[in-house]
Amino acid sequence: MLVDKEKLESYVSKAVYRTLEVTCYMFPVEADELQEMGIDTNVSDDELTSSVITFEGAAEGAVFIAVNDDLYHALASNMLGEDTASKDEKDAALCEIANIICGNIVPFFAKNGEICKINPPEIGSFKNKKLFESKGYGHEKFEAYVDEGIAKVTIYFKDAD
Amino acid sequence: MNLNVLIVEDEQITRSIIKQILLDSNLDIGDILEAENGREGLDVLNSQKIDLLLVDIYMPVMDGLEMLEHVMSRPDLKDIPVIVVSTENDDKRVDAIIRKGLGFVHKPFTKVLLKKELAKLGGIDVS
Repeated sequence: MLVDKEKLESYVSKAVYRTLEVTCYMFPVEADELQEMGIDTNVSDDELTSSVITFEGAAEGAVFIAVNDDLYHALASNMLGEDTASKDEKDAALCEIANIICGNIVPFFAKNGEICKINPPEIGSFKNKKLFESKGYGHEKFEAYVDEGIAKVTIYFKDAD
Repeated sequence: MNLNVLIVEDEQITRSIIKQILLDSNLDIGDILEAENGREGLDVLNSQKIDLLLVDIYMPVMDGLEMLEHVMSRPDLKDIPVIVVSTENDDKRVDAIIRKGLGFVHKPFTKVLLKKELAKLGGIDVS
């Protein structure tokens, strides 16, 4: 599937930063600002908590949203306006953020009046990305830095058969 | 008059946020009921008097648009004010929702945006 990667990156960037700003009151920062705050920007994928959401229709694929511990804890607290949140609330917050981000990314793939339908998000292993890689999906990666942590977004896509 | 509100949304955390915004508005809120999908939403509508509906579109089991088709085909339910709260981005689909006389709030939404949509329901001061 041929995509304009620059346009897709712009779509993803806008979706991620706007969702985090509007829903969680988090704002973009530079990587060195995060490091000054003591947040490791070189965190490995294994240390991230991720939510995966698949889509089908005009194109099929998946969006992985993986966040570091700082952001994982802050999402639910900021969304609910509470200092502490349970693990279930943290997972739900990450899934809803994934849902909103994915919902705002998939219009990129719409064509000829056909849209993409998104499936419910799940907490999933970032390692599941390998399944999509092995099946020959195209992909695009994006990292977002906000004042509460790091989000790594990977989109897998291919034309629907 | 206290408004009984039904929130139909599959994500519990978003239901909580909408609930907080409703309680933070100047609307006279009665009961706030919740459903996880359109099917559950219809079950609530069959058993409770509801004055305002907030409905997501993309949900498992029964999506919001299918649920609203049922609602609008029922004489006893068709006049309930509805606000659709969704990530829907397709202009034609959003226009179709608005043409049916339904409110629409795009996710991600701010408190102000949802309150403005609530205010359109009848000139209610929700500031």
